[in-house]
Amino acid sequence: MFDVQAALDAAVKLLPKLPCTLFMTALALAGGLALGLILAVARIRRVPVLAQAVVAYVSFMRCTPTLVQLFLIFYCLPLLVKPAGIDIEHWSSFTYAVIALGLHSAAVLSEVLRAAYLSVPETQFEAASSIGMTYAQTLRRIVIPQALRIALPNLGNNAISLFKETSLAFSIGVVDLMGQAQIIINRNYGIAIVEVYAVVSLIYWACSWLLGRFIDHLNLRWAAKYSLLAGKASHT
Amino acid sequence: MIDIGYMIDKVPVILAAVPRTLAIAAAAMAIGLVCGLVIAVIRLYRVPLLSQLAVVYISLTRGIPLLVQMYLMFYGLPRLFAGLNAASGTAWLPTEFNPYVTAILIFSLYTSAYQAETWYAALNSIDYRQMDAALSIGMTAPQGLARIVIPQAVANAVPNFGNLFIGLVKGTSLTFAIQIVDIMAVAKIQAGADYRYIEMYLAVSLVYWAINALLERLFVRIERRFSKYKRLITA
Repeated sequence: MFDVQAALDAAVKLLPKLPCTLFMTALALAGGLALGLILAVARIRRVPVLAQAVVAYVSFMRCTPTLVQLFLIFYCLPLLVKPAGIDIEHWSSFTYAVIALGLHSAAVLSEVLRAAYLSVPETQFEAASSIGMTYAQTLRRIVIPQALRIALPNLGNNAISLFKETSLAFSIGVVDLMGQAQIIINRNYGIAIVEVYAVVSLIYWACSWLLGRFIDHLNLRWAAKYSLLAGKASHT
Repeated sequence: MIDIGYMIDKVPVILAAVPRTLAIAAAAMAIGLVCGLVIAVIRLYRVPLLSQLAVVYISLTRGIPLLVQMYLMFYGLPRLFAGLNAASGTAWLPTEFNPYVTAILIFSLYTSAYQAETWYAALNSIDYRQMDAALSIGMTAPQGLARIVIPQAVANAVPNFGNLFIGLVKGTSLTFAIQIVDIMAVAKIQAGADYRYIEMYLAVSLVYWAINALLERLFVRIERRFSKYKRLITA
């Protein structure tokens, strides 16, 4: 019923593509965090026009399937930048996938970061500005270190969903874990389909689980460090 | 560059597939709510064996991409059932499925795990002493759950349920993988026929946006209605 040999063969061919999936996740996450931070600051500081645009952008990104966003970026982006004289049609589908997933996670992460920012008490801004820090300095030295700790569990959950969403990138031609699975199945004329997908599931599950444990660990460590600092502060 | 007229022309074609999409999502949501509650109660009362199984099931479901789960179930289930039939020498289990039944099954299994987590957190957020109070005035545990704990838990869980439902509606965009002609598949076929990918995908994204933005509003209303009891206490 279940061909173990076929599953092992599939695993040998699939595992070399895992770095591609992980790399795609990491790049999209880094891009998403950077852009998400900018979007969050635009909304927090109520920058006119930009803040409203961010609300619409976030709503759009949260209300449409990631698959649709992938297709939109893949087909529309080259046309959008063409009038500006930029030709990006030769970019690889990996690049498009990273852009689409990065834009998607930027919207989600901006909400996470905004909530974390708002959880830092207003009085700390006043204290920072009273000792002469600029807004940028306050952000970097006071607010972001605290907000990141608060945002960590949510960031972690979103990193895991982003990792799972990379499984859609094969639809625009990226040969990642899922793309390789499709290739194997086509070569086998659909014979060992169940075995291949079982192996794919197992790999995704193991990575998600490890990622989850890593975030739990980080969370505990940061919490311990913070409570230590808080303890020192109360003694002096 | 982009033919707006074509987009407007094709919106009815897309809208025709909306009921199908919503029906799958709604059916899965309803099944998931019940299964999720059962799983959450099992975990809450630490039922031996069952609660460990629940933890494994939730971990697997949340760790594997939906699309992979869909392929696995779509191809694996008929084979598993055929194997079981052969092993038992009978033909009790069906080996051919209606794609809609498969879709609802897959989405129910998927969302149940997330609903279970939501229910679990919501039930835990209710002070356990309320259950003690319910028991002390002679309610049975199921009565205490049904009358005291669950109504309050629901109010806390509504925003999460809303997000999960919206997630399901978005998830239905993957049903093309198991040969259901949903919004996404309709768009793909039309786009391929007219070679107008950009217009079609833009139209599809606007349709999804409209549906889900409306659903978001709806769930805010539901949340307000369910949290009425909170206002009464503070007033």
